[in-house]
Amino acid sequence: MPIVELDTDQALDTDLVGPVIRSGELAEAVIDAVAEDNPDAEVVVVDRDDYVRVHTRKECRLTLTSLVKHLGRPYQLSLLEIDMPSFKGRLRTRVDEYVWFYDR
Amino acid sequence: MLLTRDDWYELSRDVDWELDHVDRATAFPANWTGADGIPEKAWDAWEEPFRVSYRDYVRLQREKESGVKAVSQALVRSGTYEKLDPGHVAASHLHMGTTCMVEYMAVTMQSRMCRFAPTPRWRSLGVFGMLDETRHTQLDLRFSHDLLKHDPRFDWAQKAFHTNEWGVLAVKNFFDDIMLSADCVEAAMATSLTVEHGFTNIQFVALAADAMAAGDINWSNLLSSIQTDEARHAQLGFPTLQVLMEHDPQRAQQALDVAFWRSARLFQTLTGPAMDYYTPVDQRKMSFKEFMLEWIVNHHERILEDYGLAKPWYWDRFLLSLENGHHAMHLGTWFWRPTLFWKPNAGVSKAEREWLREKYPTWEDNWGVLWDEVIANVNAGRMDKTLPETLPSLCNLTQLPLGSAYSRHELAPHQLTYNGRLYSFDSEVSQWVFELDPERYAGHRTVVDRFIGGEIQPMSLEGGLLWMGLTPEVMGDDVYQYAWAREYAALVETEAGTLAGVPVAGE
Ligand SMILES: [Fe+2]
Ligand SMILES: [Fe+2]
Repeated sequence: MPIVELDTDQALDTDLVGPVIRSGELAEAVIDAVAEDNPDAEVVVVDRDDYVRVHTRKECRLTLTSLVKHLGRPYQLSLLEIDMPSFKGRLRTRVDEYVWFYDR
Repeated sequence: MLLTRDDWYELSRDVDWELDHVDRATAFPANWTGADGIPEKAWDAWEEPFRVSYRDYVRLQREKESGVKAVSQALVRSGTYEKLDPGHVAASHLHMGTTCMVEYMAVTMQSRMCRFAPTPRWRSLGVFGMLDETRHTQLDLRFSHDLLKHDPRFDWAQKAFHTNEWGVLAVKNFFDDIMLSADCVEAAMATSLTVEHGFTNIQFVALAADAMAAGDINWSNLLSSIQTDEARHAQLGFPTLQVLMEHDPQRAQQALDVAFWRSARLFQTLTGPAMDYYTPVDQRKMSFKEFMLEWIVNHHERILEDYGLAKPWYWDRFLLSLENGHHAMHLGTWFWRPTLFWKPNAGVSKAEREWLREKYPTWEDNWGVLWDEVIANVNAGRMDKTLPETLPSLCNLTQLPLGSAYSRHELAPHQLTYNGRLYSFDSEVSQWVFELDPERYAGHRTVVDRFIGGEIQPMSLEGGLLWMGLTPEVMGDDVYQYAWAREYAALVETEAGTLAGVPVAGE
């Protein structure tokens, strides 16, 4: 589960999907959780100081279980919204899992 | 065992009234729902990407609010605002004046969705959207109120939409059209998808990153907190798009293409100058064009493709405009600075120009030569030549100056006659929009139309400023008092011998 950090996304694959999180403790935990939940994917992280893109190609899963594990405290996925000013791709939200994806 | 939201969500979202006293078409008129031609059954496929329950909503919004308030109280008390770069603060004046009341208009639009949207699932989300937009309006008003003691320009958060300031009229013209006058389906295409899912990211996430770098933590935090609501409620556009793609894809494509062009032109006016000229050069994260490529092309257009839409037919023209339109709007707004309620930074010192050249290889040829003229006039003390005597001709669609969509090399007129009246446009794309639905736009008169019609008295620039509500304490002027031009003074003297020894402006 490689994590690739980029400081520019000029040449970024347009097929990337996933959340954009305000920088901080939560963003770090989301990066680790996404890496765990998408074991076969490369996790692309673009850090713009104020916000961080956390993306994988075509489909990006984030489960409550991994996020709680990496955050080290109880959490609910609905709380993600507080620090998520944007995200890339389509979204499906369930209590135990968020999935960003493209169909084509 | 306690039920989770997913256990009851699909049942609760379909709770609906059974109508006894009126028929459905009376309760949900097609000109408000926008669902004409779409079979009622089609809405069963409407699946919200972002699930929300009222309990979650209240809890989250409460937390968001206390977060923003804590940051803002600490920063207002510590006097951070006074330490900000004056070039940068203009961006927040511009934002509050042109955006606060758009948030309020959005309350009305969301209320319409919560009453008239064609499925109860969407109507429920309309309630949250309505509460969101009420929050945004109040956040802007509170932020502005806190800072009013430092600058009367923050009064424009409330005042702007009650004036005839030309830029405000352009903003109002667009949002009157896509928020206040649009049916639910069209509003979902134009506002939810194009503006909220697309363009507001440029102002509320990308410019927020610039603002954070400039030390304006209070404003940056407010912007990104607002966008967390936008990101959620914008999602109601996607299932609506999905239904439209099944039953009327042509309508979806057209509504999106119209809204895309109008949004692009508007954000060239509001966000472009703030990013590429007002933000101090060493604090700029990326250029407006780079942010647009990130958020609009890579982020927004890609998802529309996923739903089977094509790029707008005018894509090449959009890319040309992306290279130029906001530079045009910046030069124009700076030149007509007495008609602004903020103080623009010219942003063309040598260091800033180097940055512009690097980001926009065509900048010197398209824009630099015009600024050279301004610089020569400033340094020769001919300030009258750097100020307007007349009003600019305006586009009958966007209400923005003619000639401001592309570069100075692309000034071909775009005109047509409709019902005996001549209409002019800033581009062939704006003309195309007008021609799609002339009745919708034909009755509107631009500031210049009203001037010629004798509504603005006395018929002079002073009369115009009075009519626009621009009082001396807010009226725009160069924010650095032309200090940036001095480093060119020596150049003027040596290159143009006849000007040798001319006094530098302000000395
Ligand atoms: Fe809003
Ligand atoms: Fe909104």
